[in-house]
Amino acid sequence: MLHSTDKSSGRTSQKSAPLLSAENLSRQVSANWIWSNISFDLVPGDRLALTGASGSGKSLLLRTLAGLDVIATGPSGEYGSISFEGKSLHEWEMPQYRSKVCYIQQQPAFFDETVEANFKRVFRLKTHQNSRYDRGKILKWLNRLSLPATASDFSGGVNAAGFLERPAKELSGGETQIAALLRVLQLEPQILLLDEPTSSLDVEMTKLFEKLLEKWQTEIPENQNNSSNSTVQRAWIWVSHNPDQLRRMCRKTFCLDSDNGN
Amino acid sequence: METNYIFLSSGQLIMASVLITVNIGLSLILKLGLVKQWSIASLRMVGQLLMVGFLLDWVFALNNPFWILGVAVFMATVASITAVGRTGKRFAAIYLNSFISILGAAFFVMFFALSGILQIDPWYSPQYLFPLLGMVLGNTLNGISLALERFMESLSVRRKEVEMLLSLGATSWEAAHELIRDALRTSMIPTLNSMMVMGIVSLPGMMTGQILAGVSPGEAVRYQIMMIFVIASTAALGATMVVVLAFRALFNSRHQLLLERLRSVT
Repeated sequence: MLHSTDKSSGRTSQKSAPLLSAENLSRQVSANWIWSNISFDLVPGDRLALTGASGSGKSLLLRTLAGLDVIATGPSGEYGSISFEGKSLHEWEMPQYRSKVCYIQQQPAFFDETVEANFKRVFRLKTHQNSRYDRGKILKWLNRLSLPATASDFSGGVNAAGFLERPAKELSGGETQIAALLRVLQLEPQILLLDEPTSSLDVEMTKLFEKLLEKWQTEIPENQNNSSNSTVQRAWIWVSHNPDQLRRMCRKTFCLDSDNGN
Repeated sequence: METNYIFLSSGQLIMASVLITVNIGLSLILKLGLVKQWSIASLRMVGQLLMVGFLLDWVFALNNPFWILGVAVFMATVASITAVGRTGKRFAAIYLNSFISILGAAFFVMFFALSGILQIDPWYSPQYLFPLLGMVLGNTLNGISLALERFMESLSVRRKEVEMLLSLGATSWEAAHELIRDALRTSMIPTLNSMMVMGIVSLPGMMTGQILAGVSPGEAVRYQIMMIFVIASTAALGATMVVVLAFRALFNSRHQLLLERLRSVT
C-alpha cells in the first residue's frame, strides 16, 4: 500500500502548521511537462519518501524545493509556489533559506583539501558567520558511524589517516556521501532533501547512516531554547530506489508517476 | 622625426608584393593547397590597410571630435564582436557586455594616458588616439575573450561545485568567487608573460615602427614602456568588467545559477 498514495494524501491531517509547502508546482523541460500541479505539505517531524520512475523528475523536484532551480513564469504568473515557515520563498533570503532547507547532491562535490577543511570552509560563508565549526559534534557523529576520525583513533598500531584527515577528493563514493551528510548536519538544518543519500554505501554502513539520521531527527536542536516546544521539529524528503529503505526511513510517500501530472 | 625616413612609393609597394610569389611558389611546389588562400589573404590585407589609411587620413584632416570618437567607437565595436566570436558559449547579452567592457576600459585608461600622461590638447588628437587605441583594443580583446571563455567554461564544468556552495547557503558571489578569480588570472597571464620578456624575446611593433620613422631607440622605448602599462591596465580592467557582467547575467538575485542561459556554439 506504500505506493498507493496520491497527491491529495500528501496533505497531512496533523494539526501542526506546515514547515514547507508546495502549491501547484509544475516543471517543464524543453516543452515537456515533467510534473504538473504538485502540492504537498511537510510538517515538523515528517519523513516523506519521494518516489517515481527514472526520469519522473525526483531530483528536479528536490532542486526546486532547495531553490536552486527557477520556477518558470507562465501567462498567469509562476508555475507554483513554495513557502517555508509560513513565508513565501520570495520573502526569504536564499542563503538563509538554503541553510535551513538543505539539499544534498546525488554525487556531492568537495574542494581539494582534507575532509575537515571542507567542513570548516562552510563557516566562512556570510550566512554562517555567527556559527563556528564544532569538532566535537562531528566526532560524535563519526563515532556513531564507527569511523575513525583521526589517525590516533585506530587501534593496534594501524598507520592510516582518519576520516577527517583524508583528502576529500580521495574518498570513495560512499565516504563522499557520508562526508556530504555531516557537512550539512553541522548547519543544523530543519529539512533535509536527500537525493539517494546511501546509493554508494554498503549494507552495514547504510544501517549506521539511517540510525544516525533517525537519532538526529529526534534530537532537540541546540538553538531551540523554547523548552515547551519539545516535539520533533526536523523533517526530510528522501529519494531512493530502494523500497525497503523507504519503508524503514519514511512514513509517507509522494509518488511522481504519471497520474500526478494532468 | 623627419631625419632619415623613406617614403614608400607605389612602385616600391609593388616590389614588396612580389615577395608573395615565395609563398605561392612554395605552395605550388610542395602541393600545400594554399595558393588560393594566400592570394585572397594578400588582397584582403592590402585592401583593408589601404582603406584604413584613407579613412584615417580623412579623419585626421577633418579633425572633428565627433568623427574621431565615432571611428573610435566603431573600432571598439568590431573588437567587442571579435572577442565574443572566439568563445565557445554564448548568452543573450554577451555582445553588449563585451562592448561595454571594451569601451569602458579603453575609454578610462586612454583618457588617463592621453590627457594625464601625454597631456595632449585636445586629448582626442587623432595622431595619438588611433595608434594607441589600436594597440589597446587588440590586447583588451584577447583579455576579454580569454576571461569570458574561461568563466563560462568553468561554470559548466564546475557546476556541481558552485551549486554545492549555493545549497550550503553561499551567496551567488561566494559561490562563483573562485571561478571569477580563475578566469581573471587566465586572462592576465599572457600580458604578464609578455611583459616579463619584453625587449629580450620580442621587440614590440610600436617601438620598431618608431625607430624606422627615425626616432632614436632610447626615445622609442620610453613610448613603449608607457604603452605596455596602458595595455596591461586596459586588458585587466576590461576582463574584470566582462566577467562581472557575465556573472550578473548567469546568476539572478535569488542566488540561482542560470546555466540554461548559456548556449554552445559549434
